[in-house]
Amino acid sequence: MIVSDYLKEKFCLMELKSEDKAGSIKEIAEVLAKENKIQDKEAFIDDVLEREELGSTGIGNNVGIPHARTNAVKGFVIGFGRSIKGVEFKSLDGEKVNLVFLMGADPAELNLYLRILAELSKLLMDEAFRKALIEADSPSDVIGIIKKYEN
Amino acid sequence: MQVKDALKMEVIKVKRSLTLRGMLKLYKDFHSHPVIPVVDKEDKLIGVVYPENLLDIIRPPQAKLFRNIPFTEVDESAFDLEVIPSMGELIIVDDIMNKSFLSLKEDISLNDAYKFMHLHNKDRLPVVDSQGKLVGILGIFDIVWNMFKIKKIV
Repeated sequence: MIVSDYLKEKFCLMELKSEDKAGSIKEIAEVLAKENKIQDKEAFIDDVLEREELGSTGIGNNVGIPHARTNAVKGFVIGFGRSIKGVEFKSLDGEKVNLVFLMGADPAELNLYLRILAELSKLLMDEAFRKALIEADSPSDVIGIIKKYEN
Repeated sequence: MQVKDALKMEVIKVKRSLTLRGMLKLYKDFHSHPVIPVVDKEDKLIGVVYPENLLDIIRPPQAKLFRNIPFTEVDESAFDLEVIPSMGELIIVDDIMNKSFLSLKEDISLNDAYKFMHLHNKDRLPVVDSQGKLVGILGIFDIVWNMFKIKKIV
């Protein structure tokens, strides 16, 4: 139980409009900013995109976990966006991404940030977990699925 | 004697974009507690990775209180935590480096360097020139060795 401690229903977007990486990151950042989880939305987006330039977080299996340690965030924040059509993400396997988890942490929050990254990427290795997220009907479904697989 | 006369110039340095896997391979045969300097295109020192930062990848978050106590029982659970292999690519140097860090200027005296390291409880620190470019690493043993050299023991 670590991802679901931080990912809440209101931070989940069930259908991303954008079909590219930058657009999808912006959409999720928008939701997080609306919920007052980000101090500086533009700086946050810039930092995440700069991090993506250094190496894509599209780790395969149609999953992307863009993230950044940034002063634009206090503590830790995570949001989720889904695209059934798929987002062009420059993934390591060249495939489009259906599930995007956007994470940000202030630079001092290294341990928690890395643990959540590790836990989330472990969950996402499970094909049944990914399939359940793709088929989820609502944000509360998404959180329920995460909780179920965390246990 | 100044820091620049005593430092080790052969330093393994990394770029922000290097993957965790690449960095671990690079340091595999490093024989002592490493300080990993991170430089930009111009060789300017922009960050430092310490072994503690690497441990943060496999250490449970509740260990925060114990973070400054090495090898307490909390650390043992690091071996039990499951981390998937693709973390080797997902995490890059930029994700784990410290952007605020201590360094030494190359033109300060060895005596001052020793006092500084002692004060901050560091046994090695990266050394930079007046432009902030990495020129080497200075360890406590480099200082001690040169103290003996000044006394003509070596």
